[in-house]
Amino acid sequence: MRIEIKMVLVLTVIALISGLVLGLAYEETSPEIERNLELAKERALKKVVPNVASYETKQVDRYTTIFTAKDSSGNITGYGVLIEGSGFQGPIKLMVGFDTTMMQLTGLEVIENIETPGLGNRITEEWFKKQFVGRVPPIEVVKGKKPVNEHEIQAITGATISSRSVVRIVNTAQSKLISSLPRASYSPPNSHSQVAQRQNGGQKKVAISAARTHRKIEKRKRVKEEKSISLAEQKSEEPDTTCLKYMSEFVRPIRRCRTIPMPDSLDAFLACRGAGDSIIGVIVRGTGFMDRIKLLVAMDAGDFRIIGIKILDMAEGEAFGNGRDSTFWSQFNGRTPPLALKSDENPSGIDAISGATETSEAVITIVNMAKIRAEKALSEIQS
Amino acid sequence: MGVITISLLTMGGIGLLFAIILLLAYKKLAVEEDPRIKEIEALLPGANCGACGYPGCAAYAEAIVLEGVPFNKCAPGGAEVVEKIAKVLGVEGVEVGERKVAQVMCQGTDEAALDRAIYHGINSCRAAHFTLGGDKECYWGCLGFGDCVLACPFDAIHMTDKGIPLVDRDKCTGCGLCVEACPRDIIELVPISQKVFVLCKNEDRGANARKYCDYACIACRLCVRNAPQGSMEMKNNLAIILDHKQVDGEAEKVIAKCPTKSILKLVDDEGEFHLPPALEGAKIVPTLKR
Amino acid sequence: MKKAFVNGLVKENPVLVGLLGLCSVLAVSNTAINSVFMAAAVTFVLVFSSLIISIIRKLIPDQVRIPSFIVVIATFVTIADLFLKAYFPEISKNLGPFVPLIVVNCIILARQEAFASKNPVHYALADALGMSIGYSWVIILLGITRELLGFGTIFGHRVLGAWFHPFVVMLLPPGAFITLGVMVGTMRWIQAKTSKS
Repeated sequence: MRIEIKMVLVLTVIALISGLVLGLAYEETSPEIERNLELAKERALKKVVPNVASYETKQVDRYTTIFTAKDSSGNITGYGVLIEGSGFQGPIKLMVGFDTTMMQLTGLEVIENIETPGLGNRITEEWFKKQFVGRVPPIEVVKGKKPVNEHEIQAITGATISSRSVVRIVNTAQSKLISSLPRASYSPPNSHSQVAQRQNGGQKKVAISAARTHRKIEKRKRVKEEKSISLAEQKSEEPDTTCLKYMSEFVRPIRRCRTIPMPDSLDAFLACRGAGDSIIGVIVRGTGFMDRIKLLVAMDAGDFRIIGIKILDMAEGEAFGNGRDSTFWSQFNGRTPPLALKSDENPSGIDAISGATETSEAVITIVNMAKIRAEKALSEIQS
Repeated sequence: MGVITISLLTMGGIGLLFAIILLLAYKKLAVEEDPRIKEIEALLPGANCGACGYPGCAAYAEAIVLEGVPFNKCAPGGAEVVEKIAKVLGVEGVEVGERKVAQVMCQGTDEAALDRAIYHGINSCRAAHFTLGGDKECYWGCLGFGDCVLACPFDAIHMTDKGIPLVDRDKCTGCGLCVEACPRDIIELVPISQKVFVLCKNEDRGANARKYCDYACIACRLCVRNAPQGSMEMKNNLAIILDHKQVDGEAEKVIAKCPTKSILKLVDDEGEFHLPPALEGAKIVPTLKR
Repeated sequence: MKKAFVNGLVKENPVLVGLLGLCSVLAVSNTAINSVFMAAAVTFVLVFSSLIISIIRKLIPDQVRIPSFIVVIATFVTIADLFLKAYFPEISKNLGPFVPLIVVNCIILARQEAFASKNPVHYALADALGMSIGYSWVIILLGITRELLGFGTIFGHRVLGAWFHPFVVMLLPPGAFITLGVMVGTMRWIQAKTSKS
């Protein structure tokens, strides 16, 4: 037959036969493959959350699925967040377990990773995963020394980036969890009892801080007449210079300014402009793509609309243009957390810094945390 | 839609699409190659020795078909190949010249020739030659490191224990690679029927030459005088054969008077090759790859 | 036919002499068990591709030679990949993208191009088996070495006691390259010693 026809015919036929064979092979194996995936997820869920008789799944976005675990009576026993993020060599998929308050970690399992064997791969080791149990996000990585409080875990020697990636993904998991499930499931923790329970060698410091908080709040109670968060009535104090230093960038003039001490010593500041008009500034810490990020987020104390963000600490080399691109930061002003990156499902989201998606995402997570901390801080004053 | 259906459609579609693209490419770009080129290439020995003057048998085949160059240039192939090629091309056979073989024109064995130095260096004639002219007293004599042996693709030349290489006339195809390999041009391609050879390349004055080599040509002119007029000459203290047929005709007379036995009749009248006296009793030794 | 088989074992070993398919050899050989599965996958693909291509060799026009080979090879690679994902998910995860990369493993395409497409089935089969075993013993030896020196275990079983400080570098690319280099060097040395001088 003519060479032209033969050419086309032979290649097409070979391709067709290949297609047939592969289709058959796929049909044969795909149930098994599916089953393996489900089993792996279920196994991981059971490892990180106690007492799972049944569970509901909710897919939040392409990378995240939330498992609401329930016991045999149908009560919620905890949450598992299946989340994928980037590590050092490639994506890392984790199952992160949260308690019913969504604030504390109950466990961590590494589902998938292609980190360096013998180094980054060690995130799958028991000792590393165990560290996360009982920790409270936002979590930070410490190197070369033991963690001192419930926000820290120790990095793997020689695998700092992998360790940091895991921490970053865990923090993101929490913010996604909180922003995806109904408010009713979320209850702010009782900070006093939590603080008392945490005995990680920072005992004394934490105890003093707790006592101080308690004393201050009692004092407030005595003096305050209204429940409103306006501080116009508080007249008997020295000007709080720390508070003023931080807040005057966002608010002028400031009539009253006070620091709200937080149990983890990342303080919040409440600045009052006038009757009923207060701005709360929260210091938040988190992990960026490779290194720490520390921000001061100023929000309206009533509706938590963002007034402004000040970078307190951001390592150089953190993302292209070192992340100080002002067009990026100004996007936050006027918006209310929780926020997310711009996408097809979320056209009004935040535009990432081009070439620095990881950093941008990390920042958004941190800003979302800021709102939660702000709520926490405000509730402390009220209680 | 079932998986299999999708799979069939996708793969079939891709196959078809690319087959068509290839078809178009073939139409536009394909070079029509004369099938005779591949045929002739298959007939050639495939040693890629370059004796024909082309970079490999494939190139020679192409040249034969496309440029019409003479197809009798393949020495290794010989007459047999020439005939076959002629058949493929549909032409009458072209005359093939007489078969040529290599001949080492030196008798400066380790016993016969003096050294002037001890050489430490790369075991290569070319390297030794360029190192202040080699370790042999005779600047034109064979250094014996075997570059010619390594160059031969037909295993037709070997080093002997006397330090001078020996050509295997049955295997030699006359490709000429050993000739190129020798830095001193000691090897020559000669007609296989030639009988008389001057086995020396020495251009030094006779008085000196005989001091360091037993078989050196001392330019005494006895052979030239006894050879037919014009068939030999003395050039640069060395006897040269100009017309070997004439010399062969008077072989015994020409070689009789040579005092150092540097001009010899190596091929007898039956066509048998005999070893030169310097190589009597020589044994083949292996030449190691560098 | 025996010659075609024996060829691939040592004399023309695809990895140590041909220096082909190094990507997979270096990447997955950090543990012995991974090496074993990789070797099995390559063997499966090479043998069956050679078989099929040798059988249909007269039907394939020269112009679509390469795409045809690749489709055949890719089909078998996909089958191997699916098989591993379904029945050995842990291993599949460890081997990662290197099973799909068998499609572009030089060894396989080279054998089809040079041998299977030009020889009858029994020769092609012998050659494929020889080359596969040649590849297999190299990668398994490499895997055992790297696991032993990098973890102190073989196939997961502790062999070297607690006194042994593992050379973590063996698990990383430099270790792989160095070990392979030593193997290639040893092979050359043996070849030089035993070749006719």
